[in-house]
Amino acid sequence: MSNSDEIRTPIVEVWRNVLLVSIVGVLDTNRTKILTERLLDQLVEQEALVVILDLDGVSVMDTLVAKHVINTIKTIKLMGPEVIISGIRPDVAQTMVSLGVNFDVETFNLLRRAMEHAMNILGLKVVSSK
Amino acid sequence: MEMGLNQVSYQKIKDSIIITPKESMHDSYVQQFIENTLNILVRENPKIMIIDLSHIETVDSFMGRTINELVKSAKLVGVKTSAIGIRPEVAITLVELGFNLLNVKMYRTLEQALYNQNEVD
Amino acid sequence: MNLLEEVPIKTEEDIIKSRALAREKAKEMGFSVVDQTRIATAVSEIARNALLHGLGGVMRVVVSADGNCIEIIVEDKGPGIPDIKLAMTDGYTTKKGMGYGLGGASRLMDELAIDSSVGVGTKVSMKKYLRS
Repeated sequence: MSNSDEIRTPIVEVWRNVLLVSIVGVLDTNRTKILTERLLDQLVEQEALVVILDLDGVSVMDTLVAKHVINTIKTIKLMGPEVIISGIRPDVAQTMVSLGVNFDVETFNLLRRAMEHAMNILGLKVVSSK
Repeated sequence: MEMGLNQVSYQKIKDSIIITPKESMHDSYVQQFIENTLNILVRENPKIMIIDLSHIETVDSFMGRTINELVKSAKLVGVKTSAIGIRPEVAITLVELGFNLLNVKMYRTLEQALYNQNEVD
Repeated sequence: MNLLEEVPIKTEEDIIKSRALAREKAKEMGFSVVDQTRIATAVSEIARNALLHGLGGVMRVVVSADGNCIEIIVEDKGPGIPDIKLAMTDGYTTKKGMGYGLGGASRLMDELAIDSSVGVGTKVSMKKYLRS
């Protein structure tokens, strides 16, 4: 069970102290618990300062899924890191607004913008070496 | 420099006071704990108070309310608060419990909390 | 063969003792640290209820015969809960403190059952299963 979950929700260190979590599929209570535990372990091990939650793979957003995402965000914040969200699909965005859901974190459409923001938070700049 | 003062164990480092609450705190001690802590804050005048949660294995709604009360009181005497070292299992449980800790800036380590002193609101 | 431990809940210290006992048993049974903390926290909430609203009571920890399930029962002979549904709502409160903690405890445990009669007392039974 945990194997398939790891495949569906990869947690990757995309930069030092920056974790990228790509949530794919349907987020139910059980999956959320498993994901959160995995994520916190990684967070501590990698000394994460920023966590990017990519929701591009989330196709269904209802009040329940929104609650799981919100709880995940709250838990990460308690551990210290800043949270950024990327990849909310247009239809998901519409649903969220109609449901009155607010994640209360910086949100970006493109992953690379989210990465730029993560760099900003860490006080880093990308410069050309040429 | 570490001093004990009727149940409150604290440390002064640079412009901050580090408070280490005990998990076994009782209802009857809470008011005393908050009062003693406030006295320390008023006397030492730190920029921030850092609450060390690294020894705490269980945070129930009672402990949560105590922390919130302490944070609010500290703010009234002009001291902002951050917290360090919350254990992953405590973070997970606290959110599942549904308890809302006041918006206190959380850090993993003391070094981070001291370094980011100016970011606390 | 069920293992049975009973702890009185008469003072604040007893709340700490109860949750430490529950955590210890959960650890022995092989529950993860996170689940141990969920159990300890749920016990803390319900035990505090029994002390503050139930005028004190007892806690019992029962381990199932197959060792897969921990059951914690907190019983008091207090005034009872007139409206259980209302009491389970987060934020509901009669005395100082935010809510009965029943809602929270039911989220932390796998099963939670309340048996309460006004003027007789309250019995809360909670279960958690070892995840495969």
